[in-house]
Amino acid sequence: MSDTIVQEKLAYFHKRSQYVAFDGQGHVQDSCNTLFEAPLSDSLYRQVPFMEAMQETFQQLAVGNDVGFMCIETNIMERRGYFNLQVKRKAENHWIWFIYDLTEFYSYLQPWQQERNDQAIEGEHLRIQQKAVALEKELLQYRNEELHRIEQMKTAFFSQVSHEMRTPLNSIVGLAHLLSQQATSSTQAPTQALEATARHLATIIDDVLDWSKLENNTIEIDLAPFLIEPMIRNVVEAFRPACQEKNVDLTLTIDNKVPACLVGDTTRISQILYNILGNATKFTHQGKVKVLVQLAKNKTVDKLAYLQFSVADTGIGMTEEEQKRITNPYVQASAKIHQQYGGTGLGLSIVQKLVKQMDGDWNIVSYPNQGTTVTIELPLPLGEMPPSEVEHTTTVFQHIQTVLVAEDDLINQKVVLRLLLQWGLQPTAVDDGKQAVEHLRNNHYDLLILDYQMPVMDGEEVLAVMQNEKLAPPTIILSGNANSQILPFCADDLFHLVSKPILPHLLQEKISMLDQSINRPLIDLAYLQQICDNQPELISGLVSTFIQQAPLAIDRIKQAWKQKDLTQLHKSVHKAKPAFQYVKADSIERILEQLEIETETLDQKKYAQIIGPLEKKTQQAIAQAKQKLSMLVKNM
Amino acid sequence: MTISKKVILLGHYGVGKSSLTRQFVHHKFSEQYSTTIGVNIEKKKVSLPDCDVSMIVWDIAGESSHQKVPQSYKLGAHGIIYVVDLTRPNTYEDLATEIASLQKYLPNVPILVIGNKKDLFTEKERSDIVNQLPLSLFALSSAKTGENVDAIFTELAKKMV
Repeated sequence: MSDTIVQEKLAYFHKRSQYVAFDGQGHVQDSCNTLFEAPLSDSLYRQVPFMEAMQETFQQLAVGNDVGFMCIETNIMERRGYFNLQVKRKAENHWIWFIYDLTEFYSYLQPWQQERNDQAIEGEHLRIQQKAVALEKELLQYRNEELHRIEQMKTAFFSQVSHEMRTPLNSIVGLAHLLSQQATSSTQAPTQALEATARHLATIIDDVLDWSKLENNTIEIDLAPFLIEPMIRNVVEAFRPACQEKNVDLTLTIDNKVPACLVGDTTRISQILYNILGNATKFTHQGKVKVLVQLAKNKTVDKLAYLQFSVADTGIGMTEEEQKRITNPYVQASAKIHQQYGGTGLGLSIVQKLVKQMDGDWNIVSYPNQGTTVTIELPLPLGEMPPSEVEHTTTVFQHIQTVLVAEDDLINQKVVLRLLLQWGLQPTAVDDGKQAVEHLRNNHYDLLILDYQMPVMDGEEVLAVMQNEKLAPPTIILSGNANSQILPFCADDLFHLVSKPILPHLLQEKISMLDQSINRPLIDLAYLQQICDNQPELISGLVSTFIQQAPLAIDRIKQAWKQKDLTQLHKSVHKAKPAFQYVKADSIERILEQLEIETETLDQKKYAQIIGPLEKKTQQAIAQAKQKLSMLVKNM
Repeated sequence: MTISKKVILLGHYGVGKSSLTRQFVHHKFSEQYSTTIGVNIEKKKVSLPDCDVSMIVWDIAGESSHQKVPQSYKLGAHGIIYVVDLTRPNTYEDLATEIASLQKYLPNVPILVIGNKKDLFTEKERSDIVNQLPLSLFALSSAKTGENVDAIFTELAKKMV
């Protein structure tokens, strides 16, 4: 390094630094005084705050040691600045203090550090805000769950109350029905009124319960084929006496393009119609109530009929304001309406929700003092009824004769027995589930009518025993709180539900459906006939294949189970299905599906419950296939 | 008689150490946050009944832990004021560990833990926050209004002599 460079360097540091030598008392012994005038008359420990603070430390410093301080902002002899400071004890009574002035660099450094700290603090605030938002979200979620819990409690409460009220009401409706059938001319009017009142009360209870279910989305739409005309006619006829009494003309027109059979939930569709027609007849005091059923835009698309029900009346009508109010639950058009006509104010709210749940639409047009027209449009798939059901209008049952009725409420029991006797059946009654099981073990019954809530042994327990002991007559379960989830699995659809209060025609309809399910052929060659263009050679070839393959398919399933190979079991079930599908063995297909679901946990008990019926039915199906095959061969 | 005492202020950046120092020494406050680099040394005399204490206040640049502060800054300290910002949980989450570590590092040196920015809260909010703190505070202060500032330094002076 040249002398010039050394001199430059020294010059650079020289003007920014100072060297002070002092003794144990802090008295200056020597100083270059470049930055400040070192005091000669007084101690540095009294003159400089930095030195004052560090006096004890410096005095305790071992000879040869030093200590450094970076970036110190302070006053040194009236000079305010930023300094790097270093103190070293050179000898017992000799210290040196080196001062380097950073003041000119500070203006560059500080904004940089300031920005860094500002950003960090901002980040902290942001994280706090995010945490607050997350906590708020958590709180909202908790509140939602709380509301949900309250809703569930409300539903459970409604269900319980409805059950308690429906059971005695069931007795009143049934007894009133029996009384009205035996009524003389002098007692006819009061018995009819009794029946009507009981039904009205049942409607109110149903409305409140249904609304609570609709609000919680727990209502189920059960689809089944039904005949449209009798269903509508039944509803309309129910209002005829009231209309006749008021001299209101009630008419029903069903357009001849409306298909005879559709698929839908008759209970819910009837409920919609009862509500609308109920309002129309209630608020019409003269003139007409016209019910028109037709296809919307005269069309059926993709096997879907757009069915339109319109109920037009010449009643009191509504203002626009009133029309807006009526779809709110528990609200009626006006307070005056409630005083004059009563009601819960739930009817149209229920209609609106049910129509929405069925993917339908509704519309209301009303003018005060002129009348109201309510139009409902529901998309319903085209249906097909078994021919026997279409023809079945009387109460003759082909297969069902003996019936066991298990019902603890003696009045209900009496009502059911009287109805069954009326329909030519042979009923036996027991008061609890335990007796029912005893009877089932010791006797044969074509039908079991089972109350779900009974003392000693309830319906659920009875069903469990039936399943274990293979006591399996077709069963109708009576429940105050109708919910199809309580029905056990059955490939033959031999379990049905009837809600209380029992409506005689509904009970009759269910018995009729079960009667037709019994002894229905396991297989149907309609599909094979269709795909084989009715050529007997082809059909018989495929039926022979079914006869050969079906037992093998079942063997494969059994083998897979034996090896506890779930993958192989699923494969075998999948492979078995098409054979049964070709011969439309729907009930066996349902058993296969159930087998697939229930064996997920490799539960031997469940497997045993399913494989037995599967084998038995497969053998029966093969026997039926053989019969059909011999017929086919004869005709070839 | 005047006794000299070195006081160091510790705590996270932005908690108000410099503002407390400025309020104590110059009775001034600025809304503008200006970060400290290194140390700012100020001096003020506190009069006690028996003596005067020359408080040499070392306002040290904020760090999340005192371990990050250069050791020389803490050498020879006679008293510590540890400041937290009541608006920022980050500044007091590790308070208990931090104080325990300081006590170990500087045994027998009095430490006052101060919750600053008292003026930004209602009585109810303050009480909620204080209840959440892992350690009890010596005092709540406001460098902005000056509330409790002189009292804190005086109290420390008493503890140091």
